[in-house]
Amino acid sequence: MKIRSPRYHRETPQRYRLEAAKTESGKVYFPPRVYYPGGEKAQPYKMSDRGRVITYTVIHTPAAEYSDLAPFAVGIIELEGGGRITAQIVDVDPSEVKTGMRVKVEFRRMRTEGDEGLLCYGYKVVPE
Amino acid sequence: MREVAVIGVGIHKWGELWDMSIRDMFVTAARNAMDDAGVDHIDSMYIGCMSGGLFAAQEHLASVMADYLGVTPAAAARVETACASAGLAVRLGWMEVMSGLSDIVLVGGVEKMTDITGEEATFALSTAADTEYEGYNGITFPGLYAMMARAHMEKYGTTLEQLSQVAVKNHANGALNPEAQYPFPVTLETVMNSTMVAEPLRLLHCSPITDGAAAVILCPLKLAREKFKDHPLVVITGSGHATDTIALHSREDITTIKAARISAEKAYKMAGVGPADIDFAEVHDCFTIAEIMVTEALGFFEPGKGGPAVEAGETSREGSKPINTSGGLKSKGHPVGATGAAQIIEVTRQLRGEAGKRQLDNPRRGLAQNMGGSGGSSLVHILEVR
Repeated sequence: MKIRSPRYHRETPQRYRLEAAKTESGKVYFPPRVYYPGGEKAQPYKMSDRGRVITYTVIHTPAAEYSDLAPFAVGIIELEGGGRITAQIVDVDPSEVKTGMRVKVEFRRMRTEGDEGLLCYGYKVVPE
Repeated sequence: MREVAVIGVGIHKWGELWDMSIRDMFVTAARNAMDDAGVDHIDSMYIGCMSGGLFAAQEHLASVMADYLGVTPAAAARVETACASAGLAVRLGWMEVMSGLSDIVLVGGVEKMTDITGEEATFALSTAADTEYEGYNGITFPGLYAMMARAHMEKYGTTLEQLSQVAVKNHANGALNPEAQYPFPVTLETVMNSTMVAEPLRLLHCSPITDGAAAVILCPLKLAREKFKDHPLVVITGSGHATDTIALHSREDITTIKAARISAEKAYKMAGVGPADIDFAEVHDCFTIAEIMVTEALGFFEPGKGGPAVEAGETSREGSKPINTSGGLKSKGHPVGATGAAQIIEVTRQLRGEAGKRQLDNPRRGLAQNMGGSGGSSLVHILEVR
């Protein structure tokens, strides 16, 4: 599937800088939303780049865009101060990934797409 | 409000059907359902299909199918809630008949999944998750359920053997279903040594890629009593539908499927029954961990006891709560947009006493649970024989 640049660049603040939103009650929404449940007000919130692995898997049969990377680890990461992301866990042998492992978010190249060879970036996590 | 009966069911042999188009499959299942019911027309129809566009490069299925089924100008709509699309079609048809708007409504689903490569299909399926914040980061559907499996295993001690026994049981049932894609038994050893897909899930913990369609005819119970007397009367007594967050990582607890629980609670309330009153069920075993988590969410077993229940044989055909007598998605196949209707067909056949070699002993009340995505939507229907 080809990503056209408007669709890609809309997500830049989130993928490049982990920009989220925090509501008055302290709940973190990533990405920020147009409307928050209960009509709560929210302020821009930059999520921490430190967190820990809640759960993970090692993908052996990826979608076409990631076929060059397999096998690779992907997990749900809970970030310090709130917010959860799904991210690839890299710079570590997938067999050494563990639940509870502390990780740091890094800015990485994800893939190239489309006829124009659009370079796509985003976040991955590495062991801290 | 009118009570709604299931008067016809239609399906065909599922598999990698390279000689059949998306319209061939749906029309075959739909004609079989109309013949089973003995109806020569329909007032309207709802067609579940997750992605005619990505899988078969065909949208506007409402008109495609009304045309090729020869029922134009009948009203028709294609509806979508990912892998729960046909469950939604059933619910919408049930609502239309119950309300009095129409009398004879065809509900069903179809998916043509083998016209594209496996990698393309993996991508198409991944769009049922959060494309920008899950799929973009490389997670696949097996991967999402694998992460749920790991969390369930770490919290409750659910074992790989228990995950594998779901597949062994469902293949044992599917071996007795001539319409199943893979109608043969598998051993525990085969499951546990199959190709790794997304750790800890292996190939035989996953439902397959399937071409197939299924269809059901609904009408008011009163009309069924007067005109459609060829089969024991099966009535939809409860229907429930619920949603949850699109991304798995947004949920507070990933060891339970909240949408399944809430959709079941709504259906139980409507039918005036509880989990103990259900004789058997077809549930959405897209991955074997899903069957374990759903049987817990439906209230059949306490949280964390779904795995031990499979191990003890409680969910086998001879057990206290038979699950997926059709073979489930695992053995029967999983053409994603059609699965919810096929579940209604199996429940109806069991209640009619028409389930052949896999027939249970005189069941009176069955349940069908159909799920979209990683639990972002769930539909539950309760059916009873009158």
